[in-house]
Amino acid sequence: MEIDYKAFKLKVTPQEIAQLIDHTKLSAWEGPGSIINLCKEAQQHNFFSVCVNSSYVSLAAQSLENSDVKVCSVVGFPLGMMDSESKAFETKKAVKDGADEIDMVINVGRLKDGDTDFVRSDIESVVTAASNALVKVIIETCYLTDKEKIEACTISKDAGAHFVKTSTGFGVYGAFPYDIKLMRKTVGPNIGVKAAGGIRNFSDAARAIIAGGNTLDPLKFRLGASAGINIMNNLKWMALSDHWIIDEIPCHLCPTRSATFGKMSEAHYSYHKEKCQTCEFIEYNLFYD
Amino acid sequence: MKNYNLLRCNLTDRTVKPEKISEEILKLYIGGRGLGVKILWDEVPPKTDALSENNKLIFSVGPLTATSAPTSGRFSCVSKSPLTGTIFDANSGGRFGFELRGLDILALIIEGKASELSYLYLNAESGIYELRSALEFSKKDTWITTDQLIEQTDSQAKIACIGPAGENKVLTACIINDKGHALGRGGLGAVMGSKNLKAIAIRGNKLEKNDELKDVSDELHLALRKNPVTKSALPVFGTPVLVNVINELGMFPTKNFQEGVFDDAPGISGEKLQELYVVRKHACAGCTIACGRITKLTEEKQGKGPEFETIWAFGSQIANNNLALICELNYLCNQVGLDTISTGNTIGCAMELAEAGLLPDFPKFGETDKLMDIIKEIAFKRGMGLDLGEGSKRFAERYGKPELSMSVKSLEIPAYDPRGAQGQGLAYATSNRGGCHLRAYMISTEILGNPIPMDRFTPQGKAGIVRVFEDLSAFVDSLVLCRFSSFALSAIDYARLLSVIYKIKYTESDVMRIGERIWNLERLYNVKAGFGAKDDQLPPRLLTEVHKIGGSRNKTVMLNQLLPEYYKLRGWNAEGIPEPSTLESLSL
Repeated sequence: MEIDYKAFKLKVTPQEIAQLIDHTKLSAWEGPGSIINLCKEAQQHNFFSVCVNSSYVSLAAQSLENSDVKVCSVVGFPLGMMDSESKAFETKKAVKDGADEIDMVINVGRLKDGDTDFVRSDIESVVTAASNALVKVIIETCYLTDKEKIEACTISKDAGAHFVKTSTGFGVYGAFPYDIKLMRKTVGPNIGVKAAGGIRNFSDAARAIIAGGNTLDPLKFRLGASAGINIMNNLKWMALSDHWIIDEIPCHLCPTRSATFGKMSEAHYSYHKEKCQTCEFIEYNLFYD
Repeated sequence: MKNYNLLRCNLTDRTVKPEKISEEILKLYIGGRGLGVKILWDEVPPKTDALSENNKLIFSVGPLTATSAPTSGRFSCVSKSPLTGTIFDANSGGRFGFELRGLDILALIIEGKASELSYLYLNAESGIYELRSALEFSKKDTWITTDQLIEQTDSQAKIACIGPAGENKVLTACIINDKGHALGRGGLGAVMGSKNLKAIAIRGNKLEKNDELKDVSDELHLALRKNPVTKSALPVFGTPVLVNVINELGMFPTKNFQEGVFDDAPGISGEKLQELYVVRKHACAGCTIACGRITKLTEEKQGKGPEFETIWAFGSQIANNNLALICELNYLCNQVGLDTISTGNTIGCAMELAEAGLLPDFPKFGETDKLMDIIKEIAFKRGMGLDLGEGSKRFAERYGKPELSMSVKSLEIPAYDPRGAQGQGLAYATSNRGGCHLRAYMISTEILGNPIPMDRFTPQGKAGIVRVFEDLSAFVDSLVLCRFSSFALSAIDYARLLSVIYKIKYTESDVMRIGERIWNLERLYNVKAGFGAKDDQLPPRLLTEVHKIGGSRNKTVMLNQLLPEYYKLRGWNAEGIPEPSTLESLSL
């Protein structure tokens, strides 16, 4: 997989980028006031949606009653290890409470164990429960090999999901252009790809957009970010100069650099390290960068 | 557009007269630094001796000063620097700026030379605008001078004054206002001393509220409260929060920039300062960030600061790990009126000379017993202080090792080793006032990732962003808002504020244009004073020597690559002189 580490130009209006953003608050400490604030911010910046935990769906829906901002609920979050019925139940309840979109987490352990039938059925149960709501499948790339990422995307597509999504934001690392590109290549142009986790500024967002096929259609590409406002503020600075976007060292765009011993299985850590050793960009992987 | 005035004080004939500022000048240069630069350009020829009576000091504020706009309490001073020989602007916080604006003026021009040591008293409330004798304050420190002047004039008056260093025309002397804020750099205190002006005492009127401005201001205050730097880092630990951060990155200049990591940094960090000596926060007038700190060692020894730069200058730069001593040296510099950055940097240079055997009687790195005495010697021009007070460039040249001066255009470089941040290196080299981090604070993007993170080691893109930061900073300094506001606000936000107050529609392009005009006018002044590409250089150490350990090891500043691109983007020729077409496009 080729890494686009060179500087680039992306012509995008504030309105276009706002419409790609799922404005997100999922931390355990967020109270109702924080969610109401999230909704206000989303309206102010005209983000595509707010992304919240399922217990806050009705509150968000109520806050956004007279606006175009959609409500997205995570399901089976963040580990994806609850049984399929529970995920389906949570989905139904969220949709009933006003969710327009569902971001579900797959059972990563079953996938890694080769139980693809379980994973497919798990996704199908959520897609069915979601009825008309749009379903995004979080494959949690940080725990998967490239082969497993391709498998997870293929299964998601087959199971009727509308989007595949990189990460929960609670794993070892989030969305890397390398993974986004791989996912887009796997699902093709007609299924959505959502980059989430670690999208902190315009530079991150722009690289994700390009890796995701350079589409500005919110039904084909989305950014999950708690830093949506920062991304919008960055645009004010982008307007002042073309020089902000510079070549990035390839390792900063590739997930293997962020593999952390002790936070993932030993086998998976070894997989990453082995990839690094055989990478054509190994010369860039200097400790003090 | 409202009419704005200035006051012209001629010290020679002891007059204070109001003048009107033309609308055209205000539109093109706004106020603060821009207005000061324009006045200096018009009235002080570039080859003027900075310590002669022909030089002028232009104190100024901006149209937003003392309004509800965020961080609106600062004021500016422009002059020709005796240390650098360049045009020079400095700005300072505290409350003096509010009072200056309360005189219903944007600028106060000080010209000529008083026949004896004097102070200028301006009181809008009682209508007193006069020059008074200050002989009784001769050689008194800035704290005593401030207290006694308030007693003599008005309990609400705010004071900007010089200490013995300024009176003695020490080239690194500063002007201290509100007993701890400083027009710190470039020896502006010496200019004030050369004019026999000990102090300025001001009592202004309260300004009317501008409700329309308040709406925009409230929105921008909210942005400051949401930005991680202005919401958390600065309010919680103040600028010393940077000690550990910069040290971890191997960019904390140690022993006169010979190393980039100071092993004892945790002991002189912002966290340690907070734990041991901070008694409370301090905010300038009109500021919600409150980055200032009041520290206390004993009942007798307490005051404002030290800031990050001062901790570095009297810490790792001279290998001193005694935080209490750093606080004490900071208080002393504020009292005698010395720039802490230039003073600490120059002492570090002298210590390296001592280690090389060229200054056998001078303390070596880590030898701190005599530091308090050395500072006093500098302020009173005694012993070794006579040479040290001329700054590191002249000092190192005198002892045969000019390459050991860590300065640009004779101004000492501050606390960020540019080998760990290429853009900051270019910013030091191209700064119109010499080795300064504030003309383009590239640390913001290269280290703090604000507003958009850039790889600190690559030269790519840096020339363009240095230019953006230089131009925007020139504009912000002309509003005169605090540079820290730029962590959360950008050109469009400043344009909105100015549009409301001037009742003219300004766009972000206008903002950058005005900044660019001011930057180029400063450059033109320097060119006419004899500066050019040969002066846009860094000390050889930063270009050829590498650190062997730390987060910035094996790096040098790639100035040869950065500078030509910068000149090209600026529309300057290879000698660093603005092309005629560039000047024409800027209405210069």
